[in-house]
Amino acid sequence: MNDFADRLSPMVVKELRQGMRSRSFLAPFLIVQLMMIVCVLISLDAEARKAVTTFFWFFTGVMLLVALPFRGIGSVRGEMREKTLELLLLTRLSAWRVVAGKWAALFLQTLLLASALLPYVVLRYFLGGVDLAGELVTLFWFLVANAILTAVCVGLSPFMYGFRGIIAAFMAPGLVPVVVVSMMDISRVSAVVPGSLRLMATCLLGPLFILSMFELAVARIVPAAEDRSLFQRLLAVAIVAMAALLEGIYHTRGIFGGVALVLVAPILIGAITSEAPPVPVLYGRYRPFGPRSRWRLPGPLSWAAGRFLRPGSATGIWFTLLIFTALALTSGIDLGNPRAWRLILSGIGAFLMPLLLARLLFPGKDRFVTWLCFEIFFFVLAILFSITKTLREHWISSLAPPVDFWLHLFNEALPTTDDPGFYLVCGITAGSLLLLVIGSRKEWKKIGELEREARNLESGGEGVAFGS
Amino acid sequence: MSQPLVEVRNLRRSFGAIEAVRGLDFDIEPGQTVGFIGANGAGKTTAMRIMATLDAPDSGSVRIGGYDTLNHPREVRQLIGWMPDAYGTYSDTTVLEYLDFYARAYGFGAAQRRQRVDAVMEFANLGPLADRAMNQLSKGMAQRLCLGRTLLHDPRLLILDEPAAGLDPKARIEFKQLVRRLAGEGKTFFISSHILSELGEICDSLLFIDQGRIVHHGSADHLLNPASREAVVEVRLLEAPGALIQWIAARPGVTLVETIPCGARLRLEAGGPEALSALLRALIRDGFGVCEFRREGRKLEDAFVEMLAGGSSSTEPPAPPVL
Repeated sequence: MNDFADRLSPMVVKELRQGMRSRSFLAPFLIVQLMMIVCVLISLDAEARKAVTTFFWFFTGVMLLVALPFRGIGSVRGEMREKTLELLLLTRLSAWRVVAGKWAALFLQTLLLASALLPYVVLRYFLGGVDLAGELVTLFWFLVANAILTAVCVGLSPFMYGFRGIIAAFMAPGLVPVVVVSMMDISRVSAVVPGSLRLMATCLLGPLFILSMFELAVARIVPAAEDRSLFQRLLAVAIVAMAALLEGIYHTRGIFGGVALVLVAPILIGAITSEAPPVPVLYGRYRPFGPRSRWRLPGPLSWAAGRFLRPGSATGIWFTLLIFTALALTSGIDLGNPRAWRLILSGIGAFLMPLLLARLLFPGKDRFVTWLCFEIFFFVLAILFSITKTLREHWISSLAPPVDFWLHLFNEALPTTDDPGFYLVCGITAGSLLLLVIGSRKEWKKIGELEREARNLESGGEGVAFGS
Repeated sequence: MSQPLVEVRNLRRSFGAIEAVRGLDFDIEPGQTVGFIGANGAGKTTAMRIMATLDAPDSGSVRIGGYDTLNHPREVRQLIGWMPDAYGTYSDTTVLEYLDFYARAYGFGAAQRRQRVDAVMEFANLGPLADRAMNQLSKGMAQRLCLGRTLLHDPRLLILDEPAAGLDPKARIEFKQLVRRLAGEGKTFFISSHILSELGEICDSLLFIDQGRIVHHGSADHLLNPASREAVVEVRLLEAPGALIQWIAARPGVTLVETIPCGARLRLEAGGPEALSALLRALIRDGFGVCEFRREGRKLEDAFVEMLAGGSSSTEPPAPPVL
C-alpha cells in the first residue's frame, strides 16, 4: 500500500506482486544470474570470448523470446480458470485494462530481467572483445520482439484451455516464424524509410500489432452486453489508412500493405469468427462522437456502416473483403503483377476456407479456436509441401487456398496465374465465400431484428449506449 | 410504497435449445432479504448473472436502482455486489493484498482505500488473517473474505449465489450472522441456496424457481404454515392417554395419528392458528392435564419438494410479485 503503487494501474500492481513471487519468474531470474556469472568467468580466458558471446546471446534469446513471453499464455486464462475474471470486470477495470495490465506486468518483469543483464554486458566489455553499442542495440531488438511475442501470448490466452491448450503448445513454435516474418517486413520498411524516420516507423507498427493482439483477448472476455467489434474494426480501418498514407510518402510497392495485413490479421480473425450478441442496444444508430454524444448518424448511413461494422461473423466476412480491397487499392501493390493477384485471392481464401470448414464440420465448437486449428494444419501442410519440389509446384496444393497462400508467400519463384492452381484458388475462394454468405442468412435476419428492436428503444427515449 | 430496487420483467434466456430462464417477473424492495430457491439447472445462476450484468437476456429487462442492466451496466455495477458460487483465489497473494487490489480496482484513492479495507476487515473479522496467503484459508475464511470483497464499494444490493455451499456448520452460522448484520444495516440481499432451512431463517421472502419459471413467492412462514393446510399436533398430558383417545374419536375434524407415552399425535384437518387455539381450549375445558401442546414443524425442504411435485405446472403469476 505504498504511494508509488498508487500511480500504477491496479492490474499492473497485482500482477507484479504475484508474478515476481512466482517460480516462473524467480527461476529464470536466478538461472540468468548464474549463467551470466559463468559467462563472465569464462570470458577471463581471451580465447573463449567468441564462444561465450554466442552462448550469451543464445541464452538471452531463449529467455527473452521463449521462456518469458510464453508465460503470457496462462495470463488471462488463469483468471478465467480461477473464476476471478468476472469479479474483475464488475469493478471499474475494463476488459482492455485487464488485458493491458497483464501484458504490462509481464513486460516489466522482462525489463527487470534485462536490466539485470546489463552489468554483465558492461563487465564483458571491460574484459575486452565485446562491441558494447552493438550488444545494447541487439538487446533493444530482443526486447521489442519480447513485447510483441508477449502480446501474442496474452492475446491468445483466453482461448487456450483443455484440449486447445495442447494445440497451443504445438502452435507456439509456429508463432515465432510468423512474428519473424512480420519483423522482417518491418525491417524492409525500415530499409525504405530514410534516416531518422526508420525508428519512428518501427515504433508505430509494433504498438499497433500489440494493440490488435490485446483486442483479440478483450473481445473474448468482455461481458455480453458490451461490444468491442466497432472499435476493433475502426482500428483496422485506421491501420489500413496509415499504411496507405505511408505508401503515398515512401512508395514501397506494397510493403506497408503487407505489414498492415499482419497488423489487422488478429482483428479480421476475430471478426469472421465472432458471434452477434443478442443485445439490442448494440445495434442502434452509430454515434460518431462517442457513446455520450447526442448526435447519431442518419439512419441509411448507419445502416450501410452496420453491414460491415455490426458485431458477428456475417458482417465480419464482408469487413474482411473490404479490408483486402482497400489494401489492394491503396498500398501500392502492382495489380498488373500476377503474383499479387495470386496472393490476394489465396489470402482471402486463407481467412475464409478454415472458417467454412469450422462451421461445416464443427458447428457447435468455438469458431476462433477451430479456425486456428485448421489454419495451423494448413500451415504445417504448406511446410510439408514446400520440402519437395514436385509437391510444391503441383496444382494439388491449390485445393486448399491457405496452403497455396503460405507456399506463394515464401516462394517467389512459384507459378502464379499461368497454372491450373490459380483457377482452383479462384474457384475455391469464391465457393467458400458463397457458402459462408448463404450460411449467414440466419445471422443477418437476427441482426435485422435487433436493429429494429434498437430503433424501438431509441424512439421510446431509452438511451442506447455504444462503444462501451 | 417505495420504488423497487430491483425490477425484473419477462426475463428470458436460452442456451441453444435449452430455455434456462422463461419469463421471470419480480420486484425486490430496498432493504429486503430475498431467497432464490430452485433445483440445479432451474435457472437461478443464469438469472443472477443477468442481474449482475455478466450475461445478457434474449428478451425482457432488469432494472436495478432505476438503471437498465444492458443500457447502464457501469452504473448498475456500482450498486451491486456479486458473490458467485465458485469464487477464485490468487496464488502468492495475502488477504490484505487481495482486498487492497479490489479497492484499487473500484477506484478508491489511497486514504479512502485504507479506510474501506480496514472497515471490511473489521466487519468480516479478517484482521488476524491479514498476512495469510489466500490459498491457506479455510473455506469459511475464504467465504468471509469474499463477502468482504463484495462490500468494498458499499453496494446497495448483494447478489449471493450459493454462499453457504460447502461451509461447515460453524462457518455457516458465522456467515449467517454477517448477512443478518448487513441486512440490519439496510442492505438488500438476493441469495440463492440449497440449504433451504437457513434461507428460511434469514430471508423476508422466498422465490421458488423451477424450469426457468417462478412457481412460488412469499414468506417462509407462509410456505411452512399455510392457513388451509392440515396440521399434526403432539399433545402430552399429566395422565395416561386413554381418555384422550376416546375424546379424539368423538371429535370431528381431528384424527389420531399415534399414541405416545402420556399423550398422542393428532391430525387437524384445518391447521390454521384459530383451529389450533380452539383445540387447546377444548382440551383444557374438558379437564385434560395438558403439559405440552406442540405443532410439528414442517421442513422447508419438504415444502419445496411438495411444491415442485404439485405446483411446477402452475401458471405464471398475473402480476410481478412484489416481495
